[in-house]
Amino acid sequence: MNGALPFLVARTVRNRFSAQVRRLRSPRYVIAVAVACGYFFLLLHRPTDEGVGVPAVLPPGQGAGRTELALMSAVGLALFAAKWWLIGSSNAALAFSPAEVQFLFPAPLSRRTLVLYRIGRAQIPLLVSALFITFLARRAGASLPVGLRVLSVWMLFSTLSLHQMGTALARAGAAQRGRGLRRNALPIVIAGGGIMILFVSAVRSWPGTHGVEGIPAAVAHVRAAMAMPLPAAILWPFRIAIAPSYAGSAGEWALAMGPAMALLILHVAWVLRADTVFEDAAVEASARRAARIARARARAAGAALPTPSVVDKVSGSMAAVRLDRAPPPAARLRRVVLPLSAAGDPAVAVLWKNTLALARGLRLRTMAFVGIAISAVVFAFSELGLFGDLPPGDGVLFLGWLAFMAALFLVVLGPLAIRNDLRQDLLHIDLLRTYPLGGATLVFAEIASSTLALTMIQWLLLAAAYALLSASPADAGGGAVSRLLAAPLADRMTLLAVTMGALPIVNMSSFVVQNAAALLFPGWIRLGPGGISGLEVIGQRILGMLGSLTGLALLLALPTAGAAIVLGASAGGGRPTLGAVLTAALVALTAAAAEIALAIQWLGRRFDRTDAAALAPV
Amino acid sequence: MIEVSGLTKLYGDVVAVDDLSFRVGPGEVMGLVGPNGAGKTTTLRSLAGIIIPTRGSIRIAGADLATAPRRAKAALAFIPDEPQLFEYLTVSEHLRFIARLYQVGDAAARVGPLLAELDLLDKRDALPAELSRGMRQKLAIACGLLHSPSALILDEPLTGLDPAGIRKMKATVAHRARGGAAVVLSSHLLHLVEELCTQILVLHRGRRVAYGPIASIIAERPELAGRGLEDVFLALTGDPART
Repeated sequence: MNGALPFLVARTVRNRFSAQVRRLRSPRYVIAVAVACGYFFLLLHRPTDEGVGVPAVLPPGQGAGRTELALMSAVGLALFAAKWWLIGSSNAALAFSPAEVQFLFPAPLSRRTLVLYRIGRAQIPLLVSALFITFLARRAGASLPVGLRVLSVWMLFSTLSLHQMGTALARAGAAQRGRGLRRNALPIVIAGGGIMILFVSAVRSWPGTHGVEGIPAAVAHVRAAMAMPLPAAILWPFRIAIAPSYAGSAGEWALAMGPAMALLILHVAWVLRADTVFEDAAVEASARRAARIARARARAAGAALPTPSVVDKVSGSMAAVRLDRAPPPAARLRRVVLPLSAAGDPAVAVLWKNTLALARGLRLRTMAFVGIAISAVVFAFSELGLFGDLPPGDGVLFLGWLAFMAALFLVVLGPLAIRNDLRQDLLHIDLLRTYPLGGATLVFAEIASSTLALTMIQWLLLAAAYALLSASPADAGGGAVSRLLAAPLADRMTLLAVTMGALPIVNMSSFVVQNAAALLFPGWIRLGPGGISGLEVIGQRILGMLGSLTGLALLLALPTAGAAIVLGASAGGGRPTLGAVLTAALVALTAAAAEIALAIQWLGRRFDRTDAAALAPV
Repeated sequence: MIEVSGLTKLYGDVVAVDDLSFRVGPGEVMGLVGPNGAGKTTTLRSLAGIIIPTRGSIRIAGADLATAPRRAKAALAFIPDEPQLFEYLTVSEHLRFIARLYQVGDAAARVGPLLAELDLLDKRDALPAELSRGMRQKLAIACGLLHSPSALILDEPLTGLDPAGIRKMKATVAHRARGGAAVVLSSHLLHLVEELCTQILVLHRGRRVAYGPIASIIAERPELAGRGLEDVFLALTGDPART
């Protein structure tokens, strides 16, 4: 390999490490690194007496479920490989950086050198991933020395990466030579047929509805099905690849390493046979990755979005880059009917803009698909009795509870996930500052945008939960569910209305805290997607989350105290009545609303005084 | 009208802009020039209300930017060299958003001609990611012009535009100035400054080194008689190696 390439890799690694060390001159990064190290220390040194959760769902016996885990891993790998052949992959394995495309592709380097360089360069992140996963999973009943485990996982990842690269090249070649489907017919038939055989084998060996009791029994059935000759033959190469990672002893590992190594070498040979399609496929993958990174950086810097022409520039003069394709999903136009008249409160324009952005950013089809899939799986598991605790036939009740719990969890997780507020728009502070809006008005509009979105989702979930729980048997679930369902309709509707009415206030309190953190401590809060990476970022996020939770606790302290006083005074030591609960809720919500109003006024003044330069990326 | 008095901006101990004063009246186009790091961008961002000056005052259309920011900002438009657009708003949605923000009552009547003027009519339903660099610049310009600002602040307005776009942009600036807008234009393209501006302000290391009509500035330095703005600029910014 050309000596310039090892030099490039070595200097890149060294300089990146130096840059991260230099950041430690700033106290906030030192603190963040210390917190992240502490977090990982606690993660790695937590009490070991309970073991990990995965084996609990597996059949008891020799190997603490290792055989079953290995089987499930092999099936998982088979599904991944089939997906790469049938649908394609992100082509990330082929992607070069824009600078690499610009400097290396026109350089006097052979195709084989470029491929080897790409394979070699990929080993650094693969090794880091292997180290990370080995440490995280080190208590999962592993009996191998750490070094052997790291080596096994690294080799597995390398094989997978090479397979992904190979499929990407094969598919690109087929597509470029035209009649892609026919050219690719053989691998498509093999991959599709293999998956079908696995699926049919599993279904045929299933003992029927309610035939198994719990997930361990179900896993045992799958294991038996996969042991039949045809499925076993299909899974054989995948079992070879993962065998070293699941070896029970050094001797077992040594025996497993030979075939796994042979598989890896075969993959290297396969990829090195890449023909002229390599350049085109690599440049296309690089262009797509460059566009994705540039978009993230542009957002992080509040700058303009990259265009195909920019991507074209960074990708050099490779005419084969097919930039006439549709833009990536994030940039695709989804028509959202949301009218906005030119007259009226200008703050509504900000609300409109943020809501439109959220609606376009959401992958509604994916979300709907995931929601339906989860519901179907939960319903099927429940009906088959795989959850154990629930009697068969209670899928509706389970889904109702799931919707209810999701609405509650969103009170905590929603403000972290929904960020169409200052946490996104502060990146555009240059633009915001030129708008003829008062600081408080702008801050309110930004916070209201996120609050509106989250509340709508929770209302839908609550409505679904109410409908599903009402439709389930009245005595099902026992305890709270039975009491709730047995209560008069008026009481149930009142409780539902109070819950729905309380959500916007509670949500807004959370969003006030999150936005205040972004405005007051921009260096500690992730603004937009992407940004710097490294150990300190994990520490920063932990600190940011702790700070936000503390702020929320302080903000809700007064309303909670008010509600407690009302409840205490009205109950007089007995069980509180519905009226007392409603009064307490009203007091708490009024106090919270007043606090929110004051906080927004204060944040507005802070926004007006915020220097845009202070928000520049570090 | 844009009136700046004693504008000073410090970044820690670094003086980015030092005691800068100038005035741009209705119909005037002032060119802001200076070498890299002279303080041009800081000045423009201060004028736009993006950053807060350490000292001094800025008045836009008679409204003080510090004490009456909403009135001042309603009268100005800032068009940066790197267009900042919202990823998920189309071209026409950007304009609807601006119309509501600046309360442009007759926006519907203005949008069509403005998009036509900037050759964006057939891109009205495109997202920013689907536009070329020049088109995004044109969209940023359209957003700036929609509410007919009386103070126009332009930072390298020709970046990314094709020859036809450059010609249109120059005509647009001249047209807005004739319509009574006060224009501040920052550019390294000195021929553009020479062609469009009625006066120039030369900044160097945060300080004003020359201010007024180009002819007056040359007249004050007999050794530069008969020479172009480029020679004047190099002489004023004090790099003997370049003069």
